[in-house]
Amino acid sequence: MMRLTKTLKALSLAAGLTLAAGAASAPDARAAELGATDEPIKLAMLEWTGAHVTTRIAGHILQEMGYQVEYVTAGNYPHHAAVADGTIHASLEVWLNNAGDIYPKMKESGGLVDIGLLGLETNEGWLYPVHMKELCPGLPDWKALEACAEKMATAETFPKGRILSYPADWGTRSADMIAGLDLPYSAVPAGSEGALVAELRAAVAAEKPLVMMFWGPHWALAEFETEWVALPEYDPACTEDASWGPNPNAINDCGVDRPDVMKTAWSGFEAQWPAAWKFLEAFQMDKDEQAKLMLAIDKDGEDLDAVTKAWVAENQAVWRPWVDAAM
Amino acid sequence: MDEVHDPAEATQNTAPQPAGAVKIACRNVWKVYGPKPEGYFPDGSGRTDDPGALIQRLRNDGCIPAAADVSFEVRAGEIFVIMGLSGSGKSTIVRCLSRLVEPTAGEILLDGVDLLKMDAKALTDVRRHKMGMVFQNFGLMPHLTVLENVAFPLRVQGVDESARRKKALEMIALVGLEGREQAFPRQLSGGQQQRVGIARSLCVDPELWFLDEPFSALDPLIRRQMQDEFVRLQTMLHKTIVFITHDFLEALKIADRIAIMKDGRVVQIGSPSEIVLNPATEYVREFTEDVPMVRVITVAEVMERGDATPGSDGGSDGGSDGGPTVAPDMTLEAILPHFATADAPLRVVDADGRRVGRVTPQGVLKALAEHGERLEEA
Amino acid sequence: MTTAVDDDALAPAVAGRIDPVLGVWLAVVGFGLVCVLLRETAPWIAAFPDAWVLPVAAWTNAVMDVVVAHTDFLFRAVASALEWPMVALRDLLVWAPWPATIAVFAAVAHRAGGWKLALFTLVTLMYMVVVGYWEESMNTLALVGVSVPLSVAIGFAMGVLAFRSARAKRVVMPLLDLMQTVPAFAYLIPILLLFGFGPVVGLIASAIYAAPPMVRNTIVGLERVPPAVLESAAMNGCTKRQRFWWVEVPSALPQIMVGVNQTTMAALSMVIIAAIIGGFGDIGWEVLSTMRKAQFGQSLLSGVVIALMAMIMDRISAGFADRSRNADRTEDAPGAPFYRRRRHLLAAAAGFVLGVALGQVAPLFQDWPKALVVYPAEPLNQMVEYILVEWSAQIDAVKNAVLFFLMLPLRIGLEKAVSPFTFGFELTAPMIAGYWIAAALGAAALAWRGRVYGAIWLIVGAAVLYFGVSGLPWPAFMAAVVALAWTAGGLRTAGFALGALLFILLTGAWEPMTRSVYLCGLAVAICFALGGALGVWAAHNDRVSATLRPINDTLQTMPQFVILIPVLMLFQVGEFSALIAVVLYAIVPPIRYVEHGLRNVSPEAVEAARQMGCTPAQILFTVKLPLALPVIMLGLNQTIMYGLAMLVIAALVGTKGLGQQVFLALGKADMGMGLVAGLSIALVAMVADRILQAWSRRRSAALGLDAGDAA
Repeated sequence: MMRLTKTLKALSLAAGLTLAAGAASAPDARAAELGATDEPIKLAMLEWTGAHVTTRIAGHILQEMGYQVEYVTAGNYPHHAAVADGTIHASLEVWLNNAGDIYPKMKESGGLVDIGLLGLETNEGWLYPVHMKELCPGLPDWKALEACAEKMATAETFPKGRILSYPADWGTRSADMIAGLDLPYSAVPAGSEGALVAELRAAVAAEKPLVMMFWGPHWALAEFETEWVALPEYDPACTEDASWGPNPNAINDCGVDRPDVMKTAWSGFEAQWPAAWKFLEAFQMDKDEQAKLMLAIDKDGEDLDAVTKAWVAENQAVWRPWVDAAM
Repeated sequence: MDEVHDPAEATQNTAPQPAGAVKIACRNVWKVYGPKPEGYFPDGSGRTDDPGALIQRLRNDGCIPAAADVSFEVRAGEIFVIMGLSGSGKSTIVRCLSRLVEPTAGEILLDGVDLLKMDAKALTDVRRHKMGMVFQNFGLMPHLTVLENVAFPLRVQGVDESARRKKALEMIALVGLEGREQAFPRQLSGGQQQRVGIARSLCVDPELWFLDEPFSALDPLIRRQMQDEFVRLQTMLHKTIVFITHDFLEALKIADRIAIMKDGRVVQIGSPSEIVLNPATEYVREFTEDVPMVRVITVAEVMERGDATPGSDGGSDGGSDGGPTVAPDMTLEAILPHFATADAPLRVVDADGRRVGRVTPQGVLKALAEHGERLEEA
Repeated sequence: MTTAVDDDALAPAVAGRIDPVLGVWLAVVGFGLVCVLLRETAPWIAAFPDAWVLPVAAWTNAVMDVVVAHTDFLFRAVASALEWPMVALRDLLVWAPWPATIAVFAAVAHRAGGWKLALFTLVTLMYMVVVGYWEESMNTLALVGVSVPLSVAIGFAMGVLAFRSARAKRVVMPLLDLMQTVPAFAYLIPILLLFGFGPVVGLIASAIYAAPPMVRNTIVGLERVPPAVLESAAMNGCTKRQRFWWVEVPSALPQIMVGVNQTTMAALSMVIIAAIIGGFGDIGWEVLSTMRKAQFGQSLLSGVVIALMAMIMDRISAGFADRSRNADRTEDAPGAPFYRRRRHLLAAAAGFVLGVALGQVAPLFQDWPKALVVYPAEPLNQMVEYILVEWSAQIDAVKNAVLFFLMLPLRIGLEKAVSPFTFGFELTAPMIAGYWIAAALGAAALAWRGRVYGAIWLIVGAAVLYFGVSGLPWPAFMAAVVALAWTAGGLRTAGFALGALLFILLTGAWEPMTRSVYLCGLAVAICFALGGALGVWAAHNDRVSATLRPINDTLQTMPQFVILIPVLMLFQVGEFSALIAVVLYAIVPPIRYVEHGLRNVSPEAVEAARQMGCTPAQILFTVKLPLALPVIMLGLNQTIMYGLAMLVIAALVGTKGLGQQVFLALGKADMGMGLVAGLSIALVAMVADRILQAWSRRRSAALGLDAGDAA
């Protein structure tokens, strides 16, 4: 019901504005109207710093365009429900490898729509702190792992080595890869992102052995010196055809496909803020730029708002075309 | 039935009786706990030819008769004491009188109207205006001050603040608690708390005053003070009182008439001296054993009855002019000091100043001796 | 093989007795042996087949989908009705300069508990300002400011209903158990889908969790109004409404205030749940974010805010509860002048106005400048890292020892745990035979001395240790629990236990349940050993008691997430970390209850023992501990509840079990799965609770007799 009234309100507002604008000047065929500039656009502030950076930058640019923006802190899984019912209007860094089952459900309901990919160049795979190179010579080549399995063994996994993997609810990719590559390791699921980072932090501090499943861009990669294990490049055939890859008898004998990062919005977004929609469609995030800002925030303790504002001020060249195309 | 005295008969021979009409009466009242006890009383009157048999039947069926076939009358201005040990049904019956406990069968007549037939509203009205009650454990509201507690019954009636404050202060003064108006119950001693309870119960000027073991929770010394205080209050107020106690001496001290209960039934009703001198059952006699007779036997019971005309044979007995006179309802204990100063018989004079008889030391000794013998025999 | 010896060993001692309890237990042991012997031939005995599992979760989802589709507009209406007071309160708290808010709180604290509490409140709130968490704290406060009245109102209404109607009470009481034991994570998704995204979800969750203490205390309070008070009310001619509002409620108020206090604490502990959903920028969000980044210092600093807030609320509401019990209101009496009666109100108003004025004059009072923020997160982080680096070897040694010699044998049994890597040797056939012969001989010796139950426990214990909790065949496990319930509480308790276990079995939650029971059971045992010892110490030493109290307070009120980070860093992901986390949280009740129980043992009994020449140790073990046992058992009960509650949080560390199931369901937005797992946790808790309560009741009754005899 709320959704309906909101949508109606948005529609009538948009219609009114279109009429007014139409009377004033001939509308550009490609450009869109601003829409409801007095209604704040609510953007999801998800839990990780990367998303904070992406969202704030988009928010600042939207403000430059003349919109009001509100940031709403939101949990990664539950926030899809918020986008679907219009409590939050857009979410700009949805990692499709970790969107939960609720994301497709909400998309199916019609409340949530995809805007498009963020264009963030991502990485996913096995990560190790650089001191591991001494412990396990031959890294980053994945074949080196086989020889040092015993050094990586713990009480729970002995005689196999231990590879820390994603929380159980994020899937079993790590274990599948161990099986596919036929490595003498066992995958120990961490309970949460915090658990993964805590282990990385501890391993770096005490120079302990650690190989773990991880993803980037992530602020931790900026804070700690780490490298990715070089795995056979992902290929769709790898997950279907056993004969593909280094292990002729198994599937999954390759690295992980780079996860896509999506921008999503409430289904009423486009009607209510047409220009903003156009802008968000064009909006892209570069991984190096994001990493730079994450480091400034998490490592140097700088203020998120200030850092992203400064970036927006200095990088007109990057974002001005997106805005020009929209307005 | 034989041990239960007819109330009217029981009051006959006793000395001065409060002359009022019957204020509240209990007729064949039963309170039975158990599954569907009403079934045993088809007409609801509680009258039965053989209560003993019915009690037995109830017990066999797993019911508990807390009060069985209780009948008595209380006259206006009378202090009627119900005495019994714990579990005798005395507290149940006083609660039946105000329907705090709903009787299973029988009638409760208040000024001739059956209380049990009243609807809730009428009953609330009766409780608000005609009845006051004092509880063994005081029943004070812990969250209210003394003043607020005493004024509470008026607040319930919707009396305005200044009027109820005035009345409550009056009552507090009556029970001697001036200065403690703002105290909370837990800041008071037991005796003081019960004074608050008394003040509260009197605040609505009730006609009927129920006191359920009001002094049992107090120390012996305080208890005596409170009993005296109670007697003092009653001489001022002339309420119709039903007083519950398990203390036989207390009953003797304050009662006009006593009903003794055992296992839910009334065993005997009579004046204090009547009960002491003629206990109806062995059970009652046991209570009387430790009672100092001089405190119970009244002048009326030992006097030699004489001419009722004032001064008719004045000089013949001596002490006619200016010698001490005694009243018929005085106890022997009260007249003994007179014998210490004069060995002549004492003149007995009733309330109107008419001479009704005389008491001699011999008469007193004889009565005490007779009573002692009776105890020996038993 | 050796199993026959066991039965024979017991036989002579049993001969001639026909004790039904004993009979049942012998049957259980026998049944267990049969199950163990048959587990190879009939695999369905070892593990409940998946094919037999009822798709309860799927059914639940189907039903919920329909319910959500048709009723969500109703719930949305409730949500918006709840949201606006919260937003209004937040706006006010965020708008008001901090000196204004602090002044109001100090005035309230002074009214509740005098100068000491006012000062404590002042210092505590200043911490929030100086650390730079003021706005987040105020957001949290707004959340609590709506959730506490909501919980109190719901709890009071339910309590009154249960008090008035015996039928309602029969429904309400088990409902309360569920509300308190089903982890909130399990019903977050249904709430989210019904009420929509936002802080309202946290609000509803906290109301569900926090209302039960209010209900219980309301019922107890109303039931304990002295009959004389009620009778006097009736005699004064009170109408029903007058009796309720003027007599019953005020008389029950001290007890009801205890409920308000407990409900406040519970609501606050649930605040962090709101952060999982998000939408409010509260302090819980800060804790969760820092937890995700594994920043110990930062999470501790923000976690402390919640702990401090809990302490202030606890002291203030306890202060008001105290006032309602023994007020000395001479200065509040109707006769006192207005400015004396209302001095706290006046002080609060004056402070507020002054604070707002200050905020207008100097920006320092409106927003604490960043330059003045003191945020010692880094030193805290370095401390953990220092320990990590310097004590690495010792930490690993302890961890491995516990894992090898305690956790593994208990979970998978000696059968599988003994290996050259762990114990340094292989389990051989003679060793196995020797183990069983030793157990049988021990049992025989005990039985011979008349301690037949001791013998049975020894056999059961030996079997658990050999096969491991997860290796026990489910029919044997079930039989033992039901027998235990029957012994402790009779047929009703046994029936409840059987029903609960059947639910867990048929919904497919058996395997994770055994995992949870194993981890929780071990944690509870450790808590009791350690916490019990500390409790005994604290009972005999005031200084120890005074030292432990704030530590206990902090452990209980600090969001549990904060504990996880250092534990993870020191001990890595795995069972051991989970164990430590659970122990750290659940150790508080045994300390408190043991101390309380021992300190309240009747001094006459102790005096008598001393007069008879008992040594202090004899007094402790022969007099004090047995007399304090019922209280201590209540502590055990609480320990189990805390352990199970922490189990869900510990799943973030990476345990397997029911806690993990709950989280899995949260990620998948699978309502049915979450509810089934949550309900399973609740049922485990309730079975343990019923058994312990029954046992404790009987024991108290017995002690009443004992005490009478001794006197």
